[in-house]
Amino acid sequence: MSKTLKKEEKVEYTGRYLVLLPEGSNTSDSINQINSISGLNLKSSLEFENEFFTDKDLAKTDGIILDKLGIAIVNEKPKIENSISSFGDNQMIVEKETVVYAIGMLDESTQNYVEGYRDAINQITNALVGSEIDESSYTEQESEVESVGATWGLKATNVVPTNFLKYNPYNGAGIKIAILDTGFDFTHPDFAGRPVVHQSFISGEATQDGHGHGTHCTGTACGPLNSPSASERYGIAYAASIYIGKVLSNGGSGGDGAILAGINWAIANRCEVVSMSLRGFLTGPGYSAVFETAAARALAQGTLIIAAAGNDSSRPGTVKQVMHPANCPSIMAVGAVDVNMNVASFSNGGLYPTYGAVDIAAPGVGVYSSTKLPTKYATWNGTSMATPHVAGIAALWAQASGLRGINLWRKLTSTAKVLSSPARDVGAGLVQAPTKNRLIKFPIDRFPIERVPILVNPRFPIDPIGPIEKIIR
Amino acid sequence: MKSKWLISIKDGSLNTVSNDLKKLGIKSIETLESIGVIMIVPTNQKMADIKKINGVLSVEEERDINI
Repeated sequence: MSKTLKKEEKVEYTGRYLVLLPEGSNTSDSINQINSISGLNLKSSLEFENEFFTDKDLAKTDGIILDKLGIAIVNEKPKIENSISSFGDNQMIVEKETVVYAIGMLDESTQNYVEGYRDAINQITNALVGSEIDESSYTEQESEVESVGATWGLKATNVVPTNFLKYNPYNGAGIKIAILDTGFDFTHPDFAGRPVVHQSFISGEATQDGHGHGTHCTGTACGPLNSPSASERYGIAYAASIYIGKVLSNGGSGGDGAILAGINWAIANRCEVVSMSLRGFLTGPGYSAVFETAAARALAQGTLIIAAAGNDSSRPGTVKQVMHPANCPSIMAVGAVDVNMNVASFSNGGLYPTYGAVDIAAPGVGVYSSTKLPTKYATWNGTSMATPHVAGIAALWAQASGLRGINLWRKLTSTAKVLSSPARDVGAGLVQAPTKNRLIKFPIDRFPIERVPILVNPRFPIDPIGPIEKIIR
Repeated sequence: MKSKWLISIKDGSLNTVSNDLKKLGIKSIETLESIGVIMIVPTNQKMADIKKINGVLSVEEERDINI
């Protein structure tokens, strides 16, 4: 007994204590609490650049709280030798540093020691609860549950993840999306109370959508999280700011001068994303130097222009080229795929090796979204429908990553899901939304996957492809 | 309705090109500053004459666009 105590005392003399802080406590609260009960003066890891600190930094303090982990590394000073024991009396779990010695870090350099310990904790944390945890996890889980009934396109692109362990906390808040199309039906109930900035570039026609196409595209890119009358969720960036530029007439046609004016308007309004579900027919090589110059200048100013590749193909026999203006190298061209990830029969392809490529693919067959009243909702096909999927998801990435312009472009293509179809037809692959891993607050072995509740939103009971059933074992 | 011509302009040359277009007798001039493009409705000008203006990058005729 005495020998054991003596050994422990020796270990305690050389090391520190690891204190697991109460769940849900933030660093500021924890520092105050610990300092209060222990008489120590702890610092936060946030006080160090990039939260990196060394053994020397630790030695200069009574201890440091690792902000992201909710763990404190504490030195016990002889003058307040009972401070550590006070933690255990206050619902904090205390471990001695000998736990760290057991994984062989004792002889490493100080930096490796701290980094190794951090990595080990991260690894265990990731294995148990996922790699990213934040305070918003709880509320975001609720909103995701509300969205289980969603279009196949939203599920396939991870806007509404079908993997129970993932969720999507992004909604496009703070991001402006410009939809350059036939306008928008301002009387649609799903957008009631939602501010919409609009401008018509069609002489003699108001921005009100007399066609329905623009309202459909707007619905996919920016439609609501919940709707009183839709059969399923169809909107992606439901908190994004909507900018409607009417560049096509109520008959669905126009000149590309209005489109340039619309792009200029969107940039002037600092829209991060421009969605253009339109095309000018083209045969033969070449692309518009004017549009390419405009798009490159847009990218340089942080505006990403996304356009439909066109619906002129009749596969498998005929594959037409990507049409104007999507064939410009600085405009992201979108191809369409169906629910089975096959290229849509109508979707155009990248026939020229150095330009006019399809850059990315998105759901474009059987796309349910809003349209003008009285029809209110419609299921349509087209690269026109694929394009606002990419635009909405671009807004989510812009929110999640802070990236703009060409960097946002690269994020979209680098995170796309590779498809088996040729890059000529789908580019980098199927666009994917940013997601986070769920925070699971209970021990996994006490809550087997078989008992995970099936998420059903009574408002959206229809699940067209039903991948969520994967969790029913 | 006459179709427009779309003119992309070198950085910093919008004003000088716009003035030169006016000198050619073009009255309908729309400047898109954010993208550096000028749109005009030509009367009896030739596209080659527009391309000769210092600061003009390219000139194209407006195309028809559909959904």
